[in-house]
Amino acid sequence: MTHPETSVLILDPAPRRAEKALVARVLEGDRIAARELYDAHVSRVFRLAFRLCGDEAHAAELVQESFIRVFGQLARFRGDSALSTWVHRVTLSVVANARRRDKKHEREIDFDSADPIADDAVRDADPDLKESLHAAITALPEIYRTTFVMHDIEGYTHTEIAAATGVAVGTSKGRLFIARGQLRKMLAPFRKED
Amino acid sequence: MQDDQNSNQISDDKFDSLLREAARSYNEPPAPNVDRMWAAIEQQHFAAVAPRTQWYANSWIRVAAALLLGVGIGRVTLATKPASNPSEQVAVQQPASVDRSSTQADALPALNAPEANKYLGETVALLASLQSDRRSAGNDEQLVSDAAELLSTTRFLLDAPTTSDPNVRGLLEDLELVLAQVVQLPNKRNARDVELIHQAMEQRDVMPRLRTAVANNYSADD
Repeated sequence: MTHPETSVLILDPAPRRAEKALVARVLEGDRIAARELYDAHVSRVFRLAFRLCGDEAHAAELVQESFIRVFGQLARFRGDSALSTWVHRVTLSVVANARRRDKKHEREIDFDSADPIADDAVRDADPDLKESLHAAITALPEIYRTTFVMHDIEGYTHTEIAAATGVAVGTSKGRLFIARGQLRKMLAPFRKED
Repeated sequence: MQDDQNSNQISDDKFDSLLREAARSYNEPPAPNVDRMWAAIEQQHFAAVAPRTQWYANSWIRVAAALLLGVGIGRVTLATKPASNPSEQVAVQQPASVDRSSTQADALPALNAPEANKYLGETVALLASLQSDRRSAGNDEQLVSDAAELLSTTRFLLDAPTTSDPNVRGLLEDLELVLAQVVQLPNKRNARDVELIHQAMEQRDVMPRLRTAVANNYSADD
């Protein structure tokens, strides 16, 4: 699967220098530089937030909160990683915190016990594969859903996902493997019809 | 047998391909309204960052904060001393809902010790000044601005993967809530606004837990 719109999070040294200069300008109070920084990242951040929450107004709030945190904590950004990695890490944290606050998600399905419930739900909910798949993705536990959405839908690499979620690359791969397996299991009734 | 396996494998591949295709339409994002979001960010962040004149330059607030810190440290020190007489154990009570083991000095590993002291001390002082002020109306942009900065640090700590202690996270989440309320105080705040914040602090036992964290942090420096 190719994702031409996806830019790499791990930047070359030259863009990293330009990035540091931009950060320095923002810290000096340059509002135009702040907007430049925002423009450079807002599209991907919004796409990711929307994919994870599914609501435009809520995604916009998450994006706003993410950038307010980014600007508020920019002085702490040491440049060890690409700015986009850090922005994504903040965004994922904001999204996760919002989900925790949202009572609708308090009773998330436990991954280990999800199979029988999810299989029935998928089979009975809708015969359409696409809709059933969407329901199955939503039912995935957060860490697996985030990894699946970032990799298989938004086209992030495992290196990028690992950096943004603060885990090893192998962990990211493992989570994707589990997520795909879970989805296959949930949608097994459709396979039989092939 | 081999043919069957190949046939199943092809079916699996086809199925996976169908899954990936269908997944692309999962929560398909619309075009974002970047200008509207930027306007909100400008209003909430840049408007709140005003030139600083330290609110704790006010000597009365400094005195109040020092007293609160002293009382907090004293209470915690008292609570940790073994009672020689069983009747003393009744007299010395820990603040409600305080799990002292949860607020050890390395509970904020994302900050070095002086930074952690500064953050905790400023948070205590700010909330204490709000308590001493609770009945008066005022127009305190500086307080809001400083609360915004402390809120930012609180969120930084919440975002830090090294802040793993659930009880410390609980305290930080409560501080986030209270500081967010302070940040949202209207320019012409009234006593009712402050009272609501104070209620939130009391319900969540914020000050005792915060003072315990301060005391532990100071004792760790010794």
